[in-house]
Amino acid sequence: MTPEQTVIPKPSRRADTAYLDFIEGIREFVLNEQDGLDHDIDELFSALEQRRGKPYSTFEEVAEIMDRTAVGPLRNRLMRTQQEMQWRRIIETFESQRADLEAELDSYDKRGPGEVLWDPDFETPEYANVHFHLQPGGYHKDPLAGYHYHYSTKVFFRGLNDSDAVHKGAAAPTPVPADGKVARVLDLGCSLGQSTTALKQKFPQASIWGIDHSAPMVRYAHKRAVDLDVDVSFAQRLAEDNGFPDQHFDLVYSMILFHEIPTRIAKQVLAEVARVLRPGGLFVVHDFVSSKNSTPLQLYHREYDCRYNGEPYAKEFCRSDFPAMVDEAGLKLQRAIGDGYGFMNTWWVER
Amino acid sequence: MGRALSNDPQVIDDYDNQTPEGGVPLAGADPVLLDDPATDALMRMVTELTAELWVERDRRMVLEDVLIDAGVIRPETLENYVPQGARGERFAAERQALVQSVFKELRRIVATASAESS
Repeated sequence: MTPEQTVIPKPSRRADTAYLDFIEGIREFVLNEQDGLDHDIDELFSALEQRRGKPYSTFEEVAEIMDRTAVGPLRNRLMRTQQEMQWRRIIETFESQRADLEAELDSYDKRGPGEVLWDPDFETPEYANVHFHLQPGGYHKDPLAGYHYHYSTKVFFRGLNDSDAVHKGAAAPTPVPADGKVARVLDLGCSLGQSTTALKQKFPQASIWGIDHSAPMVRYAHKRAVDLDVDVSFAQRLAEDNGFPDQHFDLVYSMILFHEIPTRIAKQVLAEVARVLRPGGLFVVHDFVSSKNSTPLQLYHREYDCRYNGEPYAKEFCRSDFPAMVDEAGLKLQRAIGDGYGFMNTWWVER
Repeated sequence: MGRALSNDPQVIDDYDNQTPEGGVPLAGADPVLLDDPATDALMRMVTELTAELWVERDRRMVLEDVLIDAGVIRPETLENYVPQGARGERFAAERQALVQSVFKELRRIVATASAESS
């Protein structure tokens, strides 16, 4: 199988595929940048700002208008409902395959290329006991969580990431250390391993590890990589305590990890990165933008995600001073790059 | 290994058993986002109904394409069809399942009120 092919799990019934396709349609209805509901809301605020002669500068001003016009509650109700419907149907459709899928994971545990290390007695930290994005049981409680999460991300990306295009696009411009050496790479909070396999495509000669706190995720990531015939390995380990030797890696990478962990842990992760990166090694971080670079309307949507979509730490991360935390960990910020839309930032950090 | 999550009431309760370390308080399993729980329920019903409508329309489009491609039916055969006997009963059962699915919110509201009053 080539890396361009998709390995997304298949729902049990055509009716489930259609139902989840409908959820994708709802997301498209709300999020389409050219003519979605959120685009209409952007236009509404542009018109209101034009009328009053100055932009809204605070979250509170925007929230008051969203509430008064009922636009906000209705939009948020629809987003919450589609998310609940999505998880319910995803879990239902894979339930009838449970025995086969669990046996499949057992079988793939022993196959290569690459390996997967996980511990049935692993203690999940309390801070990770969250139903992230409303996924029942979060990333770690259901052995099939990887299958569930993979299908949900298909819906989330509205089909645009079926062959990992988003992760490949993010990994492609990954810089190399000044001496050009990239022999060992670590992907933090790898979940499905899509960045991990994308990094292998970018650095085919490198030994690449993906780590995650969730056993179901690393097991599924390994299965997915084996299906794609990509030689990468996975381990159930914490980003803040990864167990690799000092100065072991040339490159460490994280894709949308930091906004899902408390600031206290983020600082520990940066210290751990400083420990496992060799001198001159690079840490590449993709994550949400800081609050100070967000519009009040973007902050309103972020507030929804935090409170109603199971992302309790996202606001904390966006309000933190990430470059200062990098500095505090003894690392050096090389470059900060925005995505141009105000959603994502990339930081290149050097040890 | 593990336990099934989909039909396990514990999972829903589990929304209250999350242990985020500070951060924004999570809304819990059943937040009210509109003026009252009834309006929230109506919005859920409309969304669920539209999903069911699409699922059915998708199935019908698949079936019609497959059957027409196979030369089994002509489009006008569909327009003149009336289900009889056991087939008619199956149609009625399917209809009732649809109503249950779309209007389950009402029963959930009753169940919630019952739980609160007991």
